Amino acid sequence: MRLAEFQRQFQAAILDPSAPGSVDGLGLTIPGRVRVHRSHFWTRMGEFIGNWQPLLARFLGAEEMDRLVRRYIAAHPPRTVVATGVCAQLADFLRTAEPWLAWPIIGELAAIDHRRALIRASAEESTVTKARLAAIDPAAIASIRFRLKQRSALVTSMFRLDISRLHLLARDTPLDARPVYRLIHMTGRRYATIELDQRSVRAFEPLVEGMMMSALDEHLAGLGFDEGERRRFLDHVLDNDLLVAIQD
Amino acid sequence: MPEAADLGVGVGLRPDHYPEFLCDDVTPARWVEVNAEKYLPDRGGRRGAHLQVLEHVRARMPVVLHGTSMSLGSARDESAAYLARLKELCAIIEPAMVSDHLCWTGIDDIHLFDLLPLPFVRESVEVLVERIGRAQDVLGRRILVENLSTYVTFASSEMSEWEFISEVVQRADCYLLLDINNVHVSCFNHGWDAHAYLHGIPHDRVRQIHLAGYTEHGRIKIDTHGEPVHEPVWELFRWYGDRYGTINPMIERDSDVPPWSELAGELRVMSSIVSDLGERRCA
Repeated sequence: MRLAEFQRQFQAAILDPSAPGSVDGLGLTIPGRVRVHRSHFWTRMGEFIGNWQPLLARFLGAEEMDRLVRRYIAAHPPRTVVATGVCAQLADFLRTAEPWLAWPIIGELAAIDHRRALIRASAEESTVTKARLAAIDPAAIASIRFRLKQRSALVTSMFRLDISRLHLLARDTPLDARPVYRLIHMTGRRYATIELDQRSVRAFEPLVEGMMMSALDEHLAGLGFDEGERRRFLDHVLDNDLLVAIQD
Repeated sequence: MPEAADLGVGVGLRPDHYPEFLCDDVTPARWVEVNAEKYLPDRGGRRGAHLQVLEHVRARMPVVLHGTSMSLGSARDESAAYLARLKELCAIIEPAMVSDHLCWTGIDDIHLFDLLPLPFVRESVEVLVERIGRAQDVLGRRILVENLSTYVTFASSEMSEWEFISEVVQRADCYLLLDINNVHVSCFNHGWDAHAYLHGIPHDRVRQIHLAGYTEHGRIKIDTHGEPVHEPVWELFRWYGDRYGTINPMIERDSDVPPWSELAGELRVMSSIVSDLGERRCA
């Protein structure tokens, strides 16, 4: 048997342990020992997904989480070398796969959990304070781009997740009629959440990539922010340690 | 291509011990090895939280990048994207050494997060030699390749594991990362002679030595990195060091990671063995 064919068969034996005769033809001197590799793979997938999606794991419980991992990985075997990528399609899977599609709250929870994990995995950055911003030479500020820190994300969901009451969340909770907009960010090990209205979300959006201060002012004015609102928006962003200065 | 230096005693850097490394309180470790995948910048080049810690550590001691995703033995070469990101990480960290394993980790773009064994046949040799050569070209340096802990063997194998390793390493012109725990585990699981194994590898190519703990599961031992180094492994380390040297030895611990003080105790045992063997060689 050529190496490629051998490897495809070995891989199939790990991904689908229930396949009859899946190790026949591999020429294993002790065929039963392939279970070491099966166990290693499935244990590792359970750990990756459980660690990456702790809220989902807590909500579903160990048994259902284990069933979910097996179903999800069978449908989406990992195609990434970094553990962080393994869960990328999990929320969409939950929204479309039986039995979980019957409880749309679970897919939403997974999506929020995934975004929180991405924030957690990002690097801490030095943020701009009001004092530091005031100390920048007005001539120099034109060459500085400001963006939201990496450990932040604008998250839109269809329900108002309250993590402190996760244990009370019923799986048949209906989705909200309107989207909930939030800016989630993290400092050290602590998450913080800012509830936003739709106009504020639009105000924040270009700050994900970053912009000059003058362009931000124009952008806010274009959204109908008067001068006082523009000042309060900037104060709010600075007070929450959200902005990073990039000298291009 | 830069040659590998003798760095002294090292340890696998794990997040559990970041506080000690951030406070520079890590005696007697003189260098660290990290799992490369955890520290890769993302596709946009953004550096994650782990890489931020690693840059702090790198400013204070040498770092070795140890990967598990080159899949050097895969019949299909699907490593280009990974190698590009690893090269980017090398540019940031300037590692003392870069290593991966003599294995495959998946095929057809699937990644199984496991170090899977190869049959010791000519086709496996040819694939490994070509792929190690390509990795070395991309990274612009010689890499080290590590022997596996194995649990299965194949009736089709045409040579012993140590003959297989020797041929691959010589022909690919790379270095060997000798994992003595893996030698012990594989020899126990397959009834091989560990001394014959260690005699048979190309000693002039060894640039780093791994020690770790295994877990016993009935008739087999599993390479879990979840226990302290066991006495048979220390014994093999002494045996090998006495004959062939102890270049860049280190301890890996990946699960049930103990407090730093406990791991430091194991490192002191390793240091003491290295120093005793050094004195004996001098005498």
